[in-house]
Amino acid sequence: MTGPAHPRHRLDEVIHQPVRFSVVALLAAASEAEFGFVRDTVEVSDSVLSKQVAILEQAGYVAVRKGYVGKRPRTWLRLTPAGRSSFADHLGTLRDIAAGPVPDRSAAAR
Amino acid sequence: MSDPDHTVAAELVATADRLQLAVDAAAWRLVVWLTGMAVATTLYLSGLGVAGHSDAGVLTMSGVFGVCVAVLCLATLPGAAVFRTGMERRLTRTMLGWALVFGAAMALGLTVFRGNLAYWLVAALAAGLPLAIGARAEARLGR
Repeated sequence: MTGPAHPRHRLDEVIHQPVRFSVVALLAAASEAEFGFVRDTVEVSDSVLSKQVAILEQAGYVAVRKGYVGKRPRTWLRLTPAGRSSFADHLGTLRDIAAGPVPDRSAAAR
Repeated sequence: MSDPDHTVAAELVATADRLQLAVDAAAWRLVVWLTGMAVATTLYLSGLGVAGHSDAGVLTMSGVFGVCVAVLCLATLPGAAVFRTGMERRLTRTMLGWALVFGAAMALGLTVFRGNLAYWLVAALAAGLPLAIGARAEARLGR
């Protein structure tokens, strides 16, 4: 038996969850984004975003920075180099899958 | 993890593209700031040419320029919620170019070409150019 051939085996399980995928895709286009902007753009609640960001942070994909604009506390999110690299690989794999179904090798061998 | 078929994968790629566009669209503040700075710089240096040898004129123009820059910064930058990838590098390059031309134009103008309107008009255009180019580059990235 040969190793896994289908591109799906290259997908990143941490990034593949829908909300996390959207968060990472947004952050991939930004050097840094404010928590509220990410929440509104991805269309999730504060608590859902916090939970998913915590998972991404734990995986080493997202870095969180807390600061102030005037007297208002703000939280800024950015992708780490590891997160950026993993997302690029993940998106590349999705593009491969989107390009078309992979021929069934076992059927072809029969 | 569910395995995406090619339809789902295409939808996810489209989602990523849409989110990139959302980030691009939200980065308008920097374009406005750079454009405003280009206009303020050009008007300020032109104003110094019009002020000629009058110290009061130079001081008034400098005061107005300072207020314009402060208002522009306060109106556009604090609310910025997202910065596009590579923005720091592009902004640093733009601002270094501006500082270099602006500094040289001021130093030469106030010591050698004071009262020379033609010099100040050329300097005004030259100093505004790096900011205008930076603003145009940022605006084109958002398309």
